Amino acid sequence: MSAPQKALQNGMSSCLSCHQLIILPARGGRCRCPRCGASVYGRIDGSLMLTWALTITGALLLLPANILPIMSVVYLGAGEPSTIISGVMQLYNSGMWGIALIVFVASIAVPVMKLLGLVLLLVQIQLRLHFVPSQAMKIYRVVSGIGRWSLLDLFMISILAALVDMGFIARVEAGPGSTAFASVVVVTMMAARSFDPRLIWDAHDGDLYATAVEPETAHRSAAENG
Amino acid sequence: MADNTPVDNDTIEPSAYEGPQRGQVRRSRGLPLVWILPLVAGLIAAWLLYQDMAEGDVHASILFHSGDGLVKGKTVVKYSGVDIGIVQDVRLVPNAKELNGADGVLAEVSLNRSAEYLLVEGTEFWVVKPELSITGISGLETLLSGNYIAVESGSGKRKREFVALDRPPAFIRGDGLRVVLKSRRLGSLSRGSPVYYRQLRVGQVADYSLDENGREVSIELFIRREYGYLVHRGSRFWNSSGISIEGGISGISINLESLAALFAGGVSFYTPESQRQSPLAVNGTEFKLYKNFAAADAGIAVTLNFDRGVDVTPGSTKVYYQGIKVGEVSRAKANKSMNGMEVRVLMDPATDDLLSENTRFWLAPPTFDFSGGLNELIQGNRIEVDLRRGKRSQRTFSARASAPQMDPRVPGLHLRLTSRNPGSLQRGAPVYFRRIEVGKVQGMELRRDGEGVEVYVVIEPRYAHLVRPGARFWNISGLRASASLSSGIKIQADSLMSLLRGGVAFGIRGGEYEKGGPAQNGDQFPLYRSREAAMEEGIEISINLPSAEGLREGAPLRYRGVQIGEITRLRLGRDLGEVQARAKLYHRGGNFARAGTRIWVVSPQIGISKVAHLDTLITGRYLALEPGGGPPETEFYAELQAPKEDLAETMSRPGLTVILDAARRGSLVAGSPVYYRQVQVGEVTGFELGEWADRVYIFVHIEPEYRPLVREHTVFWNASGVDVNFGLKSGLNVNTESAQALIKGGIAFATPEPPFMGFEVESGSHFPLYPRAEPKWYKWSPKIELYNYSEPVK
Repeated sequence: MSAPQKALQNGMSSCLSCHQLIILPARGGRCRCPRCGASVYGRIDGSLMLTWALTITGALLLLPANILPIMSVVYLGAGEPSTIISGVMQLYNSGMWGIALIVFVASIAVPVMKLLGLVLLLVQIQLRLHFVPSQAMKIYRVVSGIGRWSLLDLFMISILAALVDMGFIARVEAGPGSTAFASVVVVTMMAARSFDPRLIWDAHDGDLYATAVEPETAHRSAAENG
Repeated sequence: MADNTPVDNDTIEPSAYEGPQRGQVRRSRGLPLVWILPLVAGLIAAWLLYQDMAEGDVHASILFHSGDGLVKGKTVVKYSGVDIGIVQDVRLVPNAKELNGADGVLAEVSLNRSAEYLLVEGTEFWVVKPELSITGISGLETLLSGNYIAVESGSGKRKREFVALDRPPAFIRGDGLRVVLKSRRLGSLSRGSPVYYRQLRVGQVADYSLDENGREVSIELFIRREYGYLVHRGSRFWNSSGISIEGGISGISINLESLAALFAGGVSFYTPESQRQSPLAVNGTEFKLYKNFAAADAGIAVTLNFDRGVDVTPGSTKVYYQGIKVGEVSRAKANKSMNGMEVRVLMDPATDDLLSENTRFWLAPPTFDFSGGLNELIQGNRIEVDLRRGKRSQRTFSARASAPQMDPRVPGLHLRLTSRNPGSLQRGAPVYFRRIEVGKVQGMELRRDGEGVEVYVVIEPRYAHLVRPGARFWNISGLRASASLSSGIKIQADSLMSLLRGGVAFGIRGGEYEKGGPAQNGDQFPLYRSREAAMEEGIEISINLPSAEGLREGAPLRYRGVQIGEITRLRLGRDLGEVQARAKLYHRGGNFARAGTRIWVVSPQIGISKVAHLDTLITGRYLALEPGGGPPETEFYAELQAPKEDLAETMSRPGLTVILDAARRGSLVAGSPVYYRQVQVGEVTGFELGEWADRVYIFVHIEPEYRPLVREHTVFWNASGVDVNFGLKSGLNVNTESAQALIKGGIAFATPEPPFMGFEVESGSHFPLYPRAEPKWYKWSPKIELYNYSEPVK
């Protein structure tokens, strides 16, 4: 296995803000970039655990987000709250399958895919499954890039609620499901953010992943090399 | 700087760049606090799942006869107006057992868990649709929200499958008394029709159905609990639907129990006196439904003893109290001694308290009186009643065969008016004060001596103070017309009613209002023939007329166009030679009753010289007056034409009067103008033949203002006609003083310039009248100062 030499093996890392090469402190953990003051770490502390926790949170929050009504359209005093899936069904039944598809993708497919992608990555790393790191990197990029677009729904609801407020005639109200849904989106974004993609390569290279890295040995070897 | 010692503080020491730099160590705070998040999320999810399980909808299925108005996912289930569920699915059920094999529609409904207690045996479901029925409009809200399924709760075991009612139940919440009426016909009753007790709504018709044998209809009544005590076993129920329509001049009025009762029908009940002690009705007690209160015998039987035969028909003749039907004749027969009638009347139970010793009945014959109602005209006789409270309740009355002439019990001021002739006055005719109705004519009666009529009048209490001892009453029956060319024809009637029924008006002359106190009951007043007769005092004069052609009684006497009196009577003189007229000069005309006053008949004049008094063609001729200045006098001689002025007359007028001596009268008439420089300064007032008949004296009156124009050497010429000169050189020359002079003739005069003009002249001076002017006269232009017209009028 001809792995490229890694900065971490030499007790160094680069600041992700200003790209200053920094020698990590001997005891490992976090330090600050002496140039820009940003946090610098070889690998994110407890990245896997954090990501796991947030992913599970997001998955659990998906339940209320889909069970509770996300909004209710009250027209002439009558109206009922609709959940995400009933809204999609309504749109589909009324022939607007294009919009139904968009809502379905943004509100159901994306959060689920994001959680699935994260779980996949975490399982791969944790169980050291045999995988192609470039594919894992693709999954990670999609997961971290796609996250914010799930908020489309919430934008729509907030705009509708502000625009359609005609007293008794018509009113749009956001339901408690929208709070849960927003939480899902935020939690999955945080999960994607807390995931340290360098672990993919660590796992691939057969290195110890971040929690197993012994900064002192690394440092020692770095010192020996130096 | 290759220092391995960790830097524990957070301060960043900027330093020169020398290759890779040592990061500054910060204490790691990686706590697994983050696991709180999934914990919280899990709790939330679990709680929601529990809620969904525990609070979720319950399902039930309802079988309907028809799926009319049921929409999947739309139709809601309401209980007491609150949405408690929704129809999830609708499907057909062929040959449903519950519907006796008919096809039904099964609706799957999901109900709120909170409404689960409704899903028990006895609960009824039905579809509410908008309903426009005669008892009211119901379910209107469904127009907006769509039909819905209504629920009424039952009680019993839990149940999930129901059969819906095919029509709304006659649902009356709350408990009350339910009694059953048996009737041959349903009439106009329907579910929801009101039940009245003394016109108070105490319940409603809950339901009705045909008896098994199809012979009778059972009508279930619901009487509200608080009124249940009113229903005895002996109570009588009758159908109070129906209307009485009265057409009047003011429109048509409809009398009925209530407007709803008109369409929806209604049931009234009453407990006759004799049945008051009967036990109270209980649920299910059966009663007979009578056609009306008379048939129900629920009316209070009253016996009327008429002292002579009256034309009443049982079942048809009604008893009215101030236009309201309160009873019906049920039986009429001659009394034992065969000198009167005994009439049994059923009075509306509502009048119970008012049948006392003070109550009076009488027969009111039909009169041509629109205000009494069309009914009366068609139905003939009716009995009127004056209901009054009294100390003793009474059931036998002696009734009058005619309306009472006066009824002193009517509140108000009672007066007697005496008249020779009441005209078209009728009982009930209004009494007006300033055209406001303040009272009524109660009746009238011949005076004992036959010399006139007494009219009984009652003034409403609030207007009684208007009647003072000085009040004058007059008859306003009929029409008064006045016409003039300028203002058209005016026909005056105080009101349309007064045209038909006559009427009485009264007024008080300005000065007499304060005199005396208010009039007392029973005061007597004369009833005058007209307002003028009543309100104008004045002086009676007699006028001898050569002929009364065109004059009539009531013709006015006028001075300068103002009416100052009227002719009250015209009669032929003893010797048939003349007509004697009596006239009344109103008080303002008192000055005319003097010696020297001249009276003449004004009649229309149509001639070439003038058209005058055309209005008399329509209004009739009248007498004109010219006041004299002598001592009081009441005997006058009238002339047929306006008096011509003689010289003396003319001389007495202010201004200058001269006499022109002419050979012929020419076309001059009285009123022909007199011109000076084509300005009219006077007129011809008259003419007469000279003493020797060799000439004509023409009297000319010059206005005082222009008096200085006439001097000793003034020349007068006849300016009548046209002066036409035609010459080859001068062309056509037409000359006339004025177009008026062309028709009426005229005189012009000119005065020479000083010093030839001479002095001013006195009235009575003579001048010659030249037939035409000399040209030089036109050139005279003396400067003469005119008087300002300040000469006092003699």
